[in-house]
Amino acid sequence: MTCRRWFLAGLMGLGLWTATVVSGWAPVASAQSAPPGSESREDSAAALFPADSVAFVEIARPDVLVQTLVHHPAIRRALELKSVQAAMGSPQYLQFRLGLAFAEGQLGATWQDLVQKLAGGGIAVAVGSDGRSVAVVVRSNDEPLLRRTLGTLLSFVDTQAKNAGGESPYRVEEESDAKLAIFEGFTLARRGSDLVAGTDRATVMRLLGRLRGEGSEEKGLAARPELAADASDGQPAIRGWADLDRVRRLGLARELFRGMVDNPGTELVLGGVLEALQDSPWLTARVTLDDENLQLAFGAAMEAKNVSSSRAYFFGPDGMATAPDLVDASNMLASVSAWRDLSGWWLSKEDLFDENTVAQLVQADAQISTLFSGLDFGGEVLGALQPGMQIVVDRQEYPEGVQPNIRLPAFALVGQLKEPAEMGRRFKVAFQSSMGFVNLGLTEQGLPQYDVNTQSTETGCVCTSRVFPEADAPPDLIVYNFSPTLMVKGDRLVLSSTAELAEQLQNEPAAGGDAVPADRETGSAAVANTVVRLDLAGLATLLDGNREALIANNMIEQGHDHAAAQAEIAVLLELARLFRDFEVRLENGHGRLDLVTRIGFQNRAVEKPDGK
Amino acid sequence: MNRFRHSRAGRRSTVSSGPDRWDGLDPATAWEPWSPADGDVWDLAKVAHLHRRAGFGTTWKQLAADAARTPAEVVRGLLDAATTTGPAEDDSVADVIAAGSEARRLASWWLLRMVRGSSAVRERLTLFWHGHFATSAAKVEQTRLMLAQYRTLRELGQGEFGALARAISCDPAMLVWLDCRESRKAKPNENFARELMELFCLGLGQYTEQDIRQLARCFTGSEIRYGQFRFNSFQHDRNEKRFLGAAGSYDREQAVDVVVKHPATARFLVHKLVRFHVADDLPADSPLIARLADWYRGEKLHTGKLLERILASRIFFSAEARGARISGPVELAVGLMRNFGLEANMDELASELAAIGQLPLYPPSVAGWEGGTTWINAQTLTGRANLVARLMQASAGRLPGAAGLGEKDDAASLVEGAVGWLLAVRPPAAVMKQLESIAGGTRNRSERLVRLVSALATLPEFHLA
Repeated sequence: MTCRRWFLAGLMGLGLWTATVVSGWAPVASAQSAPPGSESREDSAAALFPADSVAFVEIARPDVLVQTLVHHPAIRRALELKSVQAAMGSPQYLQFRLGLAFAEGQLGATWQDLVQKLAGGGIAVAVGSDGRSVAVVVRSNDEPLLRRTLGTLLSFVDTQAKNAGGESPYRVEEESDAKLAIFEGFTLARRGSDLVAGTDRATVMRLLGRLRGEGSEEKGLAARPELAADASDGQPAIRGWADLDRVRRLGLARELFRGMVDNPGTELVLGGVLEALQDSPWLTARVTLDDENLQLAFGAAMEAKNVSSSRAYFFGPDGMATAPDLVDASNMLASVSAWRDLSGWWLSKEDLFDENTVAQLVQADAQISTLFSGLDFGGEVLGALQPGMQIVVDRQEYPEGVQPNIRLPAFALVGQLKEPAEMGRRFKVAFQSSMGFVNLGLTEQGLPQYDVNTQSTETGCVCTSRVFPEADAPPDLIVYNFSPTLMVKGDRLVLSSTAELAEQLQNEPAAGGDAVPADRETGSAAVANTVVRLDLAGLATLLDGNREALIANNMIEQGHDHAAAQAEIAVLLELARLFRDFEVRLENGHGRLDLVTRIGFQNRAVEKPDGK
Repeated sequence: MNRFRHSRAGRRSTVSSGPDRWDGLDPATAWEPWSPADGDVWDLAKVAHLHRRAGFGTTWKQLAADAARTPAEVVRGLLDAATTTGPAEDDSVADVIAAGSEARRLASWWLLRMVRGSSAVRERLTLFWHGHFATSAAKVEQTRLMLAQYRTLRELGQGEFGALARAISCDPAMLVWLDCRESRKAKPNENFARELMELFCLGLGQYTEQDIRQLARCFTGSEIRYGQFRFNSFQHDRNEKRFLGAAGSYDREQAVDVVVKHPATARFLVHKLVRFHVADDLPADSPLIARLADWYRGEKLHTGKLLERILASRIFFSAEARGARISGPVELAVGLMRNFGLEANMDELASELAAIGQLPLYPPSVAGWEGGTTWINAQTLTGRANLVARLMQASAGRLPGAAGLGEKDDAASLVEGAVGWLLAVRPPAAVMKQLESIAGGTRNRSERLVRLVSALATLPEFHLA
């Protein structure tokens, strides 16, 4: 439809709406204002919903959230991007703007005012005890506007039905001080400045009763201590909660509560989370947003002393083990630190994985043991490492004139040896043997081999592998600047993809402790079990260096030509530069496990309209 | 007005009318340039036929533009475009893929180049040579070697065959594929020597086992180092070899030249190229082939010149040649995408093509794809129709290549145009009526076209080229 036709249709619709608003929803729209002495608007929305609800989500101040988003520096920067500006000139966007302006004109307010007035008291959604029914409560600050909006909306529905040759899809009923529009499988009600909607009429009626103050002795969901605790911890932009006991009884998301995942890598990363989800009676979620950060946090019940023995490798013998300090590097892109007893993880495989996975691990066990002169891989090789692992990813600098097609970062694994004198030598020999196998494979492919150089030092050794320089090698030979290196210094073990990064890490100081301060209530310390930190600005630079690879990927996945793919990737890279860093922390203590993720925005001041 | 003229409208819907139908054509004139005459005009159907066979197909707009030019001008234009190298960024993208991806992704990239590249003729001819010198990434594994071979085929495919054969004899992907890099003077590997004569140049019955053993000695000492060919003189057999009636201490290139100059080579290659461009069922022993092979030999086996002669010939535009080929899966999908200007996830397309029998860079054997009726069975026919329907549905109504088609907006003109553009053979009248009912209705033109093409794909005629 062209803009002109759309506009004309809109004008026709306006006329129809104006004509029908009085007749159709008028009885509901003209319902009495909120009756006296019924409710306190300060009541938590959680208290309105029945205690047996399965899930609950609340946006306590939608108007504040919208204002934060509208004036957010990152969003304002995004809107300044050329590509976004161009998109805002597209016919689709202009059509959207026209529709929005039309609706604003109909209701006599800007959309931001509409949010502030229509939902300023909060929006809350809950899923009923059957796991299917949904109910919504929207608390408005402007009853006349709410009435007018509903009238317009229902008139539009009537017009659409009439245009399609059908009858009105709802009937209007009056119930005490509320007006109801009853659809097939959906009920919409207005009582004063509150709007209630739901798929189950009985629930809607019960919510209306609660809004009147009926059954005020019931605390509803507000009786849930974990929700109350969340509410006391500052006001999030969005908060959510789920009754996991009930979700499990309903048979929903069974895989999530199985407590197992048949993938050793996933188990190593998320095993502790699965442990908590398996038994936790509840799950909470909080979203907070400010100019600097967007944070999303999940919480579940978990008593450290009740952690199963097979997951002792994850949380430590007392359930309170702390991750080592993060490792830093000159061009650090990512740093990971986690407390994990790798030996315990490997030796618990029969309890953690299915038979097929165990069989594969047993086979790998035998092969890797060969590299270590027959030492048992789980007990003696992994057991030679102190629990705790650190990983660092570093952006590589390439010599002038070297332009690899794909610029890969360097990465390293850092650990601590229990008996460095004995096991340092074992790791050195295993590394040399591994590079021998690598060289055989490279020869088969007609690629250059690695020259492995081993140096003994006073406190250990350094094994560096560098591509063997061949006079007849073509200049564009792809080697990605790999120089696999093993370094043992004292009790420190570094396995790195490049010699340069290994050298940096031999004396690299810690980036700072990451244990969480003493708990606010119980006085017991919650600890960071896992910390992941990403430098998103650095990653954006790395992506920019791999622009051609991204373009190639886009061309193949979208079927675009080079120019179209180039334009899309340019937008992606511009958007990537809006972010500063990303952090994930897994914290446990005081009876709960918290997974906290935070994304930081690039800090560039953008003046707000009010000059603040 | 019917803008298309199908000379044998509705009479032949398959290529099963038998190879003897070629007997009536005079070899002396069949390969002479065709020019319009009374009752045999240069119309949109012939333009569509030329684009389908030379490349993969073209847009409705290009079809109309070419109908206003002479056939010779259009053929010349297509071949001129085939000599351009294309945008440099296309090659840099291929380098990136070769550096970090599996060969399957390179196949996706090649499909994209066939769809979006500036010269469909060049890509189609490269696809022919890829099927001829069939090398599979399933064994070669190294993406950059497959890319290098693709570039060799693309670079030399339109020139003299001798240069191409010499380049293939030292192509690293081929050396891996036929185990030639393990060929030592003490134990020559015979694979490449055998296939050079049987599949690449002469065909069966033109050589002996003794010829194979002698020829294999010429290729000893071939190695790969850093992804490039390397001649190891210590492992090369320098003694005299006797094969195909020749004798000498031939090295690799000299040996290839001996085979290429054999009289059977021209005839063998001409038959394969004619099958690929004119008709699946033209017999190898036809006088038509012999005549063209003689000419090809006189032109030093220059494939570009041969291609021009074939595409401009009377036989190419004859009624016998229309619908005389079954489209391969790649021709089918790439043709549809080029015609309509469709975009799609090329990885998904590659998987779908593999399921219906043709994934570039992964031929089933050293003999390549057999083609012809082997493309079609109950399973692949359904798969082909589903592929067409999916690509059309995924377009979400964006069909830039169809701009101008069915402007009158009535079902009859839409069907008439689409059938003439997309089908080499006109379906029977009853089917045309059914198609009109499918193309009718209140939906917009794009939606009707999507439905129509999806329906066309279920017809046997749709799979003929």
